[in-house]
Amino acid sequence: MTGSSFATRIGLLLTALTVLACTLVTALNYLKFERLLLIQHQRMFTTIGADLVDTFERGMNIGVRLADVPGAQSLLDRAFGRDVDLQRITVADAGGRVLFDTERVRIGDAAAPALLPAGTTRRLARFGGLDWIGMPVVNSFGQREGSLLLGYGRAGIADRLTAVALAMAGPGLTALAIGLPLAWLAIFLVARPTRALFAQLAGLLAGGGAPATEEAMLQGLREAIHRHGATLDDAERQLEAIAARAPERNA
Amino acid sequence: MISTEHIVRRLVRNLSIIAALVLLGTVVAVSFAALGAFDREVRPAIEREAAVIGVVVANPLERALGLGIPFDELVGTSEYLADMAASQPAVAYLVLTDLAGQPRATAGPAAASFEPLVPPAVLPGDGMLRRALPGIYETAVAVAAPGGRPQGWLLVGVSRAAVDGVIEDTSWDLVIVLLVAVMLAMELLRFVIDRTVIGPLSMIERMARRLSAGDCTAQAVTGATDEAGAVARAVNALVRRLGDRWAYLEWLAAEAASAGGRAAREAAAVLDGLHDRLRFRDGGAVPEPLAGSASAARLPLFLFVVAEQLSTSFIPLLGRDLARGAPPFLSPDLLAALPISAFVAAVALATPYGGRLTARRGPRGAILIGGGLAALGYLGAALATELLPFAAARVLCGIGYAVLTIACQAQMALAARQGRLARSLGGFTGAVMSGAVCGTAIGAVIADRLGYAATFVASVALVVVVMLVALRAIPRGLAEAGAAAESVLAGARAAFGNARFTALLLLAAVPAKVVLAGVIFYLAPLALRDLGESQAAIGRNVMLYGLCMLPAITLGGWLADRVRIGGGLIWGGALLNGAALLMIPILPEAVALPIAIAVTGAAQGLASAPMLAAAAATGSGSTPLLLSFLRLGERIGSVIGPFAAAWLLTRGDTVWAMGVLGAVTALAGLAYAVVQQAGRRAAAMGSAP
Amino acid sequence: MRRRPLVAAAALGLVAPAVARAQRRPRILMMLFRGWEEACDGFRDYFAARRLDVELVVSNAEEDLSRVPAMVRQAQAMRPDLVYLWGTTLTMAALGPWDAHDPARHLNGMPVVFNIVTDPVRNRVVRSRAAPGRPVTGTEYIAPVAVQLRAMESYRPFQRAAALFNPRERNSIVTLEEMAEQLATRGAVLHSLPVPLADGRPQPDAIPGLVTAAREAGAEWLYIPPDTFLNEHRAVLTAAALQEGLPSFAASERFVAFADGLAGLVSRYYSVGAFTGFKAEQILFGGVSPAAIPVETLSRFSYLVRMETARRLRAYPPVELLRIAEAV
Repeated sequence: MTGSSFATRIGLLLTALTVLACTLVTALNYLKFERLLLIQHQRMFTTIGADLVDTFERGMNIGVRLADVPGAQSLLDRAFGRDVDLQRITVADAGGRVLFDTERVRIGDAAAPALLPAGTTRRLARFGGLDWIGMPVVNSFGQREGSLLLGYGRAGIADRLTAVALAMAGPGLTALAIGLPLAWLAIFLVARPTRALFAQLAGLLAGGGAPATEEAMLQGLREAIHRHGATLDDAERQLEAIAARAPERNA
Repeated sequence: MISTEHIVRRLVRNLSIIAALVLLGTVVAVSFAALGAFDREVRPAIEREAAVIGVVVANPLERALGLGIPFDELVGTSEYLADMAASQPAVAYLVLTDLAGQPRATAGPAAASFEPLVPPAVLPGDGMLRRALPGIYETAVAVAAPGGRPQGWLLVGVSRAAVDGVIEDTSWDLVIVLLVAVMLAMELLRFVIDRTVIGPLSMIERMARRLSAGDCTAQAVTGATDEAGAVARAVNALVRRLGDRWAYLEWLAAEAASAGGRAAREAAAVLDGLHDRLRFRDGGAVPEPLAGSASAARLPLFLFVVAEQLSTSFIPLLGRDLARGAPPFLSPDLLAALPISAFVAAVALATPYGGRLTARRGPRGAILIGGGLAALGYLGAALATELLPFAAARVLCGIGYAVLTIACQAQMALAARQGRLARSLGGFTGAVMSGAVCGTAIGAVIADRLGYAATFVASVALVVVVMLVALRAIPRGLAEAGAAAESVLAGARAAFGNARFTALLLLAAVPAKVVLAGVIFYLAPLALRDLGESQAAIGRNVMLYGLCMLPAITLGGWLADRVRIGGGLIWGGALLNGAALLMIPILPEAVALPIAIAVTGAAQGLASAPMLAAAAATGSGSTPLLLSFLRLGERIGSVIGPFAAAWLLTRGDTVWAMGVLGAVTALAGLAYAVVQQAGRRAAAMGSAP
Repeated sequence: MRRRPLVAAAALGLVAPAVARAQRRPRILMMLFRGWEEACDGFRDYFAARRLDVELVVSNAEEDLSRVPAMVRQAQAMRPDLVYLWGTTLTMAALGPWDAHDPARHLNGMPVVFNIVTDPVRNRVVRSRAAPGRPVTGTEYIAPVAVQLRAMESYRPFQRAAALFNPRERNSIVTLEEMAEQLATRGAVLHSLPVPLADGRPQPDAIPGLVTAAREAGAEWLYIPPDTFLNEHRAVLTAAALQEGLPSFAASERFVAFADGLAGLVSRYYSVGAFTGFKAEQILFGGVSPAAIPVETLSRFSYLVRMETARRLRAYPPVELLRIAEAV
C-alpha cells in the first residue's frame, strides 16, 4: 500500500500522548519533590534562625541593647558553619541598619527593606538569588528591637533534584524506547484487517480481483461494478452495431 | 462471516487496549523510578535537618556541662527534650544517652520506637552517627562541654512521615494522570479512527449504495494520503471510468445517429435504456457535501469541558482568598460564592443566545466565537487579583461555555440526523461527564503544583486547541435556516401549568443542582481544605462525583427503559442523596465527605435519565422546549446552590450546612414521591370508569 | 488655575505643625536621686537607638530629700516637655499622692514618667496600673509576685518556703502577704520571719538564727523580698542560707550578683530604663497622654543563677531553665 496509513496517524497520536503523560508525571513528581525539599530546607533554617534569635533575646535580657549583645558577631560566625547552604546571616536594628553580619563589610549598611519582618511576624522572601527568612528580635518589653535575616541557597536541593530528575529520566526513556516500538508494532498488527479491507476495496474499485470475504458491502459493490460494466458493454455493443450498419438510404 | 462493522469494532477495541497498555507501562515505569529516587535522595536531606536540630537541642546541654554541672546530675532533661520535640514538627524522638548508649531521657511522639544505640569505637569525621530505623532516620550528636570531651549522645530521630505522605500523594497523581491519559487517549482515538476509518468507510458505503442504484453523479472526497484516501481516489477513478465510458457511448450514439433517422432513434433508445439504470451528471461528478460526523464535535466538546473543569476544585478557595480584601460588612463566605454563581447565571442567560448564534453562524462559527470568549475569560481569571474582576472573567467563561456547548450539541444533532439522535446526544452527556472527570482531577494536581494562575493559563491553551480542532474537523456550514420559532411564552405557560412537570422541576431537578453546585463544588472543597487536605486531594474527592455518576447514568437509563421504575429512581435518588449528606454530621468528616460525594454522584446519575424521560413524557408542549425549561430550572438551581450554601455558612459550619442541604433534598424527594403517587392514582381513576 | 495657591496654602497649613514639631527637640528634665546610673543609660540609649532627637537636662538630688522642693520649683520654671523621675522616694516627694496633689509643692502641668519605682499603686503615685488617673506613667522593676513564684517552681518545686523581713518596711510586708496568699491557693505555705527590733531598728545579728529556724521548720526555699535592710546585710543572709543548705531566691539583683544567693528573677536597670524610654516616646512623639499609658513591668526578666552556690548546694538548675538563665 502506498502513501501513509491511518495506523501511522494513530501511532503518532499514541506516541505523543505517551510522551506527554510521561512528561507530565515526571514534571509533577519533580515539582512535588522540590516542594518537599524546599519546605524541609526552610524548616531547617528556621530552626537555626530561631535558635540565634533566642540567644540574642537572652543576650538583651542581661540589660544591653541589641548592638551590645556580647559575642554577637562570633555567634553569627559560628552558626554560619552549621550548614553549607547558609549564605549569610545579618542582624539589623529596628531601623534596618546592619549591626552584625557574616559579611563584615556590610556592617553599617541598610538592610534590604523587603527582607525585614513586619511587626513581630516572620517574613519569607526571595531576594538576590537567595531565600531569606526574616525573624524579629524582640526586647524584654515586647517591642521589635531588630531583626535577624538569614539567607540561604538551594545548592543542596539542586543536587538532590538533579539526581531525582536523572533517576526518573533514565527509566522513563528506557520505558519509552521499549514501549513505543512495541506499540507501533501492535498498532500495525491490529490495523491489518482494516488495511486489508481498504486494500480489497481499492483493488475491487480498480476493477481487480474478487473480494476474499463475503462481506455484503463488498459483494454488493463488486456486483454493481460488474453489472454496470456489463450494462455499458452491452450498450456499447448495441451502439457499435448500429454504427457499423451500412449507411441509410437517405444519407 | 466477517463484516466491515466487525472489523472496525475489533480495531477500536484492540487499539484502545494497546493505548491503555502502553500508557500504563510507561507511566508506571517512570513513577516507580521516581519513588525509588525519592527514597534515596530524601535520606541525606532528612539527616541534614536532624543534625541541625541536634546541634540546636544539644546547645543548652553543652552549656550546662560547660557551667560545671556533671553529666549525671543534669536536671530536667526529660522535660527539656519533651519541650523541644513538641516545638519541632519533624522530630520523631529525642533521646539523651550516656557514652555507652544507655538512655537517660526520652521524648517525642515516636519515643517508643527508639532502639538503643551502640556507639562504635571509631567515630566518623563530623562526629555524628547516622542510622535508619523503620520510618525514621536518626542522627546522633555528641554532647560535650565547649572544648571538652564528649560525655553523652543526643539522638535525633526525624520521621519519614512527610516523605511517605509525598509518596502516597505521588501514587495518587499516578492514578489521576493514568486515568486522564487513558480517557484522553480514548477520546482522541475515537476522533482519529472516526476520521480515518469509520467516516471514510461509511462514505464508501454510501457511494457503494449509490453506485448499486446506478447513481454516478457524486464523487468521494479525497484529501488524506492514507488508505481511506486511496480508496476514495479509487472510487473516483471508477466513477470517472464509468463517466468516460458514458461519454464515449454518447459520442458513439452521436456517430451512429449521423447514419440516419432510424439509427438515431435506435441509439437514443439504447442510451435511454442505459439512463434507466445509470445516472450521470453533465460536466462530471461533483464531490458529495460532507456533513461531518457526530464525533467531530465530540472532541472539541470534551476538551472544552476539560478546560472548564480544571478550576472546579479550587474556585471556592480562590473566591474566599480574593474576598478577604472585601469590605467587612460582606461575609467572605457569601462573596466566595459569587464567582460560581456568576458563572452559572451567565451560562443560563447566554444559552438562548448561543442557540441563535449557532443557527445564524453555523456550529463551527459558534464554537470559534464561544471559544474566543472563554479563552478571554480564562486569561482574565488568571490575571485577576480582586473578586469583582475575577467574577467578571468567570461571566465571560460562562458565556463561552453556553455558546460552545450549544454549538457542539447542534453539530451532533445535525450530523446524526438519520435516526441516531438519542445515541448521539448520549455522546454529548458522555463527553461532558468524562471531560468533567478528567478536568477536575488533573486541574487539581496542576493547581497544587503550579498554582491557580497557571491552571487558568492551561485552560486558555486547551481552548485554543479546541478552536483549532473545530477549524479542521467541523465543516463550514449553516445550521437550519429557520430555527423553530415556537412561542416560548406559550410553551412556558403550558409547561408550568402542568403540575407533574412543575413538581419534577421544583422537587427533583432543582434540588439536585443545588446540591451539586452548593455541596460538591462549594462546601466540599472548603470543608476538605479545612481538614488540611492538599489541592490535589480535594480535586480527587470532587472527581469522585463524576466518576460515580458516569456508570450511574447508563444504569439509570437502562433501568428506566427495562424495568420502568423511572419515577422511583427520581425520588429514590433524592432520598439516597439526602441520606448521604445527612451522614456527614454523624460520621468523621474525613470518612463521610468522600462517601457523600460518591453517593451524590451515583444518586444523581441514576435519576438523570429518568428525569429527562419524565419531563418529555409530561406531554405539555414540544419536547425540546420542555427539556430546555428543565435545563433552565437546573441552571437556576446551580445559581442558588452556592448562595444557599454560603448563607447557611454564615449560620453554622460546613458540616451543618451540608446536613441541612441533605435534609432539604430528602424532603423534596419525599414530596415528589407523594405527588407522583397522587398523580398515578388520579390517572388510574380517570382510566377506570 | 486660581485654585492652586489656595490648595497649596491649605497643604502648608496642615503640614506646618508637624514641621515645627520635628524641628524643635523635645526637652526632658531628668530628676535623679542617686545620680546617673544604668537605668538612665537605658533611657538615653533608647532614643539614640531609634534616632529620636531629644534634649536631656539632668538635675540630681544627691540622696537628699530636702533638695526636692527646689528641684520641683526649677522644673515648674523650666516647663520641659517631659519630666523623668528616678526612684520611689524621689517620685513620691516630687509628685505627691494622686488623690492629695498640692500644686504648690508638687509637679503639675507637665507629663511625667517614673523609673525604678516599687509598687506605685500602694505608694499612691498612681490610682491603678491600668489607668494612672493623672498625667503620670512609668515602669516598675520588681517582677510580679506570681511570676517570681513560677520562677522558683521552675527551678525546684516546693511546698514550704520561708522569708525574713524587716517589720519596719512596708514594701516587704506587702510583698510577703501577697506571696502567702498565692502560695495558699496552691496548697503551699510561707513562713514569714520578722527580724527582731531593738530600739526600733532591726537586728542583723539575728539573721543566721532565723535562717536556721527556717530550715528546721522544713523550708525548701528561702525567699528574699526587695528589702533595704536585707540588702544591706545580704552577705550574712545568703552565707547563712548556704551554711544551712537552704536555696535562696531573690527579687532583686544584688543578692545573687554580689552575694551567695542561689537564684533570682530580676529586672535589669538598663532594660527598665529603655522601657521607660519607650513610654516617653509614646508621649513625646506618639501624642499619647500619659494618663492613657499603663504602668507596667518588663514582660521578660533576667533569671540569675549563681553556679558556685548551685554546686555547693548540689541544686543544679534544670536544663530548660539554663536555656534562659544567666549564670553568674
